Amino acid sequence: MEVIRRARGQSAVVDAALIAPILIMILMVGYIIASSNTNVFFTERNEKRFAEDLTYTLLKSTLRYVWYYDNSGNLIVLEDKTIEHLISEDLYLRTKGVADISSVKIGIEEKINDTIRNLTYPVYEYSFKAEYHGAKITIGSGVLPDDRMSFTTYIDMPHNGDKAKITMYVWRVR
Amino acid sequence: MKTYLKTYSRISSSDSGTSGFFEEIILFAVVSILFVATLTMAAYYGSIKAEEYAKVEFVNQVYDFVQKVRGYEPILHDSVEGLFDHYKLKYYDSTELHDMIARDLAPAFNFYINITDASDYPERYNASFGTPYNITYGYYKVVVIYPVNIWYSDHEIHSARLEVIAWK
Repeated sequence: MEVIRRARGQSAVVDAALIAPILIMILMVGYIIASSNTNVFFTERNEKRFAEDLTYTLLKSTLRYVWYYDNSGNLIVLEDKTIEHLISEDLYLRTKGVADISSVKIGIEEKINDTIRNLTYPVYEYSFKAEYHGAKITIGSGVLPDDRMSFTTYIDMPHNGDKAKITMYVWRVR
Repeated sequence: MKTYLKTYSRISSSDSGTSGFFEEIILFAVVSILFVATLTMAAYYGSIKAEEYAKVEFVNQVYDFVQKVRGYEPILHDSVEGLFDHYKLKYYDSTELHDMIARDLAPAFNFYINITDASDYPERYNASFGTPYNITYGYYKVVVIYPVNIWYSDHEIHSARLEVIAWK
């Protein structure tokens, strides 16, 4: 008896016709899931630039009329001063302890707060912080979300040429 | 004897498989239907994403345009970006300035610009350029509000909102 063995491979055409579409479907679904959260209408570049431009616009702006009481109860009025000047004045008053801080908050910081709100409402929330030798000012929200943009710069202190650090945090709310 | 066996008792153990199409026809049909459904879904999803990317691109174009407007020399004070000169804003007619910006900055969309004084001064130096938009259904519209200053004098610099409404 003669045994003839033909060791040709089994045709896999049908298997391939089944497996290929399944693989393609898996890839498509994977791509859709992976790309579903990549839609960012407002890019980081634009938001970061906004924080920077908001800061410089704010610092350049002047306020018509701000006030505070010194420790002797005298009303001090400042007219047409830039916000940069007012921030450094505020920090100076805080470090020297020569003013009634509650009046500074109402007469200066609340006016600055109004200005920032007018520039950002209703699209952004914000938190403006300034620091100098342990004196700190926070205007706006005290709580910072994780998803935010910030810009930091330094301004001159008028009395000694030191630098005070200021940081503007902004985040989109709509 | 040898010839007899060779003719009638031949055993073939070929490993050649059958195509198996009819055995797997149900599975084949299910996969085909799922595949067509997935293709349809992917095409629909692709069209949505393409539209979203177009919108993102448009938003970026408008932001770039806003930066150019903030640096548009004919209305700046001392060439400082974002510092508009009140007198220069006042000098130009609304349509004239709109057309100048359209010509010089050449945006690929229609636009209307509104500057709103946001300061605490009693005098408000508001300005607007162009014709208020009239958008019909199907247009993309993007509104960007951006901070700027309006210079009135070295002692009076107002904070203001630059609002650019763009559509195409």
